[in-house]
Amino acid sequence: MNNLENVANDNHDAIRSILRAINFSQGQFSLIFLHCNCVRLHQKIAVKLRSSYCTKIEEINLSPSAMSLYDNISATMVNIQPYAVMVFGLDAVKNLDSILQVSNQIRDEFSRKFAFPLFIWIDDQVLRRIIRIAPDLESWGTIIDIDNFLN
Amino acid sequence: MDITKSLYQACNPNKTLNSNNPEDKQRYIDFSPVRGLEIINELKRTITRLSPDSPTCQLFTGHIGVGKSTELMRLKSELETEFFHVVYFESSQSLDLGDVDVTDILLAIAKEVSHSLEVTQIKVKSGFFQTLFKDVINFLQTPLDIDFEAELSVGIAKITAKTKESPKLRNQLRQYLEPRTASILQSINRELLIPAQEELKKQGKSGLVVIIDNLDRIDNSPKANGQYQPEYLFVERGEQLKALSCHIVYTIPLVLIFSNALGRLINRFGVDPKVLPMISVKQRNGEYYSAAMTLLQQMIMVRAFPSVNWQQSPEKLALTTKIFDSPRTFDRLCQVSGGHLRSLLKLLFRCLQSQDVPISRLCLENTIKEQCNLLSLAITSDEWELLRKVWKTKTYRGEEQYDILLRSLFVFEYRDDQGSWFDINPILLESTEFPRDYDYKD
Repeated sequence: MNNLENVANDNHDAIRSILRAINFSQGQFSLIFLHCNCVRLHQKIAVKLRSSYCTKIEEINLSPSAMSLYDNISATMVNIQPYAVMVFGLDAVKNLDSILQVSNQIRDEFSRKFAFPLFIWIDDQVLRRIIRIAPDLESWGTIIDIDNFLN
Repeated sequence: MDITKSLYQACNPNKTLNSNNPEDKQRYIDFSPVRGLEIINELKRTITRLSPDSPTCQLFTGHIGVGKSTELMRLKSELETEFFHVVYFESSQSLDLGDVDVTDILLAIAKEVSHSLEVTQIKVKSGFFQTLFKDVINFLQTPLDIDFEAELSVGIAKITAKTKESPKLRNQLRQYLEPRTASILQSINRELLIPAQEELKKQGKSGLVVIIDNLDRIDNSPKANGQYQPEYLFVERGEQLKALSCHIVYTIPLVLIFSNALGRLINRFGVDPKVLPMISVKQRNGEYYSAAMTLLQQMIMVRAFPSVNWQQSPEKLALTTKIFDSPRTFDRLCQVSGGHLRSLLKLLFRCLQSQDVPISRLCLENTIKEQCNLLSLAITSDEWELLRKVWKTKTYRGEEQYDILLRSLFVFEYRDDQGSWFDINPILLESTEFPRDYDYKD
């Protein structure tokens, strides 16, 4: 936990919120979208999180041809109980709308099967689609506006 | 566990309260006095008082996150105390909600009912389904290991699991089953539902009720024939959905309530769909409604202090200031939620990610601004225009361009003695798209 304290003391609000969300939600599913348009910032935060949690945060990079968020996460989960899962690449998938539609419909499966906080990086364009076509899913989680911490 | 962490977990917006779980039961707040309608009571009365012995079919819907599943779980537990055998299931577990047909729903009901009966030691054998399974396997030409003597639910589960994986197989199955809908329906009634109810009555039960949750999530996409899926299922095929010989409660997509198919829907089912409204935190005249505010605050405080009756406690203020820097911060949180229960939990959930309790006013205002900015990113300039209209007139026109406003939670619906009225999500009032002279009470 020392690492967590150090980073928390860094006073970087975004990282602090993410670390608190991980810490509070052990053994429980929670859904958190990380809104960020700046790729460099998003990489910087990922690096920082990696150093504070070593390998405990499972990272998933969706390929542009990904068809399902749920399947990609469950495939990674075989035999591991991660501390938290962080999903990258939703902004670059080809079938964004259909991925979001399906995720919206089967959202209960996420909470039934995943007992950890799930973080999903999104940009403006993904955020718009989530609010418009996956409102149930959106209403289930919170969005942390990482960009906002830059201003 | 420290209170920030336990409150955080209790506010997780993806959790549905299950009234069979004692901890959850404690957290349940009966909002019916301030919703403007006693929906669950009406649904229950129809079954227990008006028609306990002959089947009823009722329709239920509501906006995302207003507490539909929580209320249906309560309906289940109240019916159980009146000795009904209640089968509640989430259709999203059995069905592919992007593509549903009537036989899928009928089979899902048959599966869930027979499974739940097996648990209570009631065994139902269906000759029709044994034959049907054999025919289906022949028709699909796919190897399926079904023990035809085994329980009905197992056979259905195996077939539907197979077809859930493969849209092609599902289509084939559907082509086979759809022309046989009438006989499937008849057999579910004669070989499952009617004998089951006779058995249940022997065990001292009052009857059988099936509650189908989440069907409101089916895609609003056009079918091959150009008809939209919700209208196709509940209007075109409504006759068959209501023909089951037990009490049924379907959740239906909200979009039907605002569509011009509503009249035909009511005709088909012979009942008005029941719509669960938001909590009227504010009244039509713009004044805050203190009874509603109190219940919203109780909903938070029971999560913070599960064993304390906050409302009656002599320590009320002291307890409040353990969670918020002042009672005004607490008021502000409840007001800005617009009486939308999940929004309330989400805002607090987000605040707790930033700060330990007591939550400061600054933290709350930052969260409100953050959420307003994020929501605003999804709103087009045409939609801002519509939102300003809703805000001024407190009315909402059921036209296509308005659909998205309700679905995306930009607009909330309330009920009072005069019927429905509408307002925009109060979070959006923080946007510069709105003039600053609205009646924001500090």
